[in-house]
Amino acid sequence: LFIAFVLACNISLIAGDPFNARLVASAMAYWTFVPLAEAAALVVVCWGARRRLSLSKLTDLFFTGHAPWLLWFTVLSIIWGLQSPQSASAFVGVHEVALLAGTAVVVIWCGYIDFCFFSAVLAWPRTRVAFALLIQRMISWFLLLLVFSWASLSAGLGR
Amino acid sequence: LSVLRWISSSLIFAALVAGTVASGPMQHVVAKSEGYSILAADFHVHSFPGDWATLAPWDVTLEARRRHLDVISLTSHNHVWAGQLGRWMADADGPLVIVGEEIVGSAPHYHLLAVGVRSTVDWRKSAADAIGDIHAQGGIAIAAHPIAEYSRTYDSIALRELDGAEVLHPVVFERDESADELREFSSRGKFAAIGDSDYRGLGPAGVCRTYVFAREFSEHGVLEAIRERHTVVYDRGRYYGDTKLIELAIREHLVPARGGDDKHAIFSSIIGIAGGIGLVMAILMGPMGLLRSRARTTTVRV
Repeated sequence: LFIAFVLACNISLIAGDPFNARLVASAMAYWTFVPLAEAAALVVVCWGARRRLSLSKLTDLFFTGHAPWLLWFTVLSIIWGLQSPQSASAFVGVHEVALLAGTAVVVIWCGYIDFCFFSAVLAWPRTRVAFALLIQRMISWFLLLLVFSWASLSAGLGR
Repeated sequence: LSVLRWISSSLIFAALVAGTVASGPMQHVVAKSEGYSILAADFHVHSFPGDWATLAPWDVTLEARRRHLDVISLTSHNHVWAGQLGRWMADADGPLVIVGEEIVGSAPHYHLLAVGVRSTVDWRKSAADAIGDIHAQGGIAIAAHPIAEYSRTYDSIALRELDGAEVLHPVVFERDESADELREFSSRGKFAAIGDSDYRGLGPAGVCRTYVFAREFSEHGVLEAIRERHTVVYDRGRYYGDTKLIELAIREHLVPARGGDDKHAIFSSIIGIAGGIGLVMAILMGPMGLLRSRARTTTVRV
């Protein structure tokens, strides 16, 4: 719920209607799909480990690794919200290289945290952890991609 | 730590209260002159899900109303159901929502707006055939951001049948060459001048807009006005569209856009910064921090 709230506040910042409670509440409802997609992917990967630790506890612990990208997204949203309407709508507010570099750092950082999570909490060997991490990312990112752009993807694949 | 958490919560709460109040009333009166309803329109709007956009159709319509848009067309990539949902959920206070689709064509690559259609137009068709389908459904066809990359596919038939072309789009704020390319495409035929923001929830709605001079404030009136090329677009000192209507728009003080939003912009920035700082503090010390200590405890137990 906290992740959905932070995402919704950031959405309102980006949209130029910062912290409008109506918009935050509404966006929170449908942006819940992000933590839900990640939780679903985690459950698939950790299904065999549910006797060691309950799935709800496992999910709670897993989401502690989300601080870096939530922080990155919030900083970007603040910067975006301060741009002129023209710059904000043309994606020129944040330098492309800085955006990509920052995102790469956050992806690696979060990957490392989750690697430590699987190693420490579930006490899995390194190869199994790497495989679990890969599968979790593939499932959750595929779901996110699908929700965002299934129509564009269908056209792209058919081309 | 508890003091910092209290500060973080207070900042977020204050930002939510101030942000809701600042969002304010959304009343807007449609300009009328010489028998025309002069409507501010954006015919290129995306929504979540299915597209790379952040806001659902019902939020998009409310944001459009806040920015005094009278007409929007929800044009998701290769489908019309988001537009149908948006129109179904639109209320009487406006804006008028027209069902649309952005056809991302593949044979060869083109982007074409179908505005006022009832069902999805097949993206596998050529631009000329797609335009034929749009007209058969009673809709209008607008070339979307026809910069060099997307404009080669329009053959002589497509150019003859097109109703409008985007001459203003956020790409013009990225590079001046794009503005030249949009102008060059507009000169290839007699199209209605269209300004669209390709809205995706990033930045305010209606940054680029079209002034439509309609005889009646209805979907039929808007589509008919575009067929008759009764539109005006303004971009940083340049005017596009019918010369007489440009004069009318200037006389009615619709273009250039009136200022006076500076105070509101500053207030919004303050709300954004304050709330943003509150969020950053919450991420560092709120539930995440709390859970982190739980994680350590559980790890030790395991």
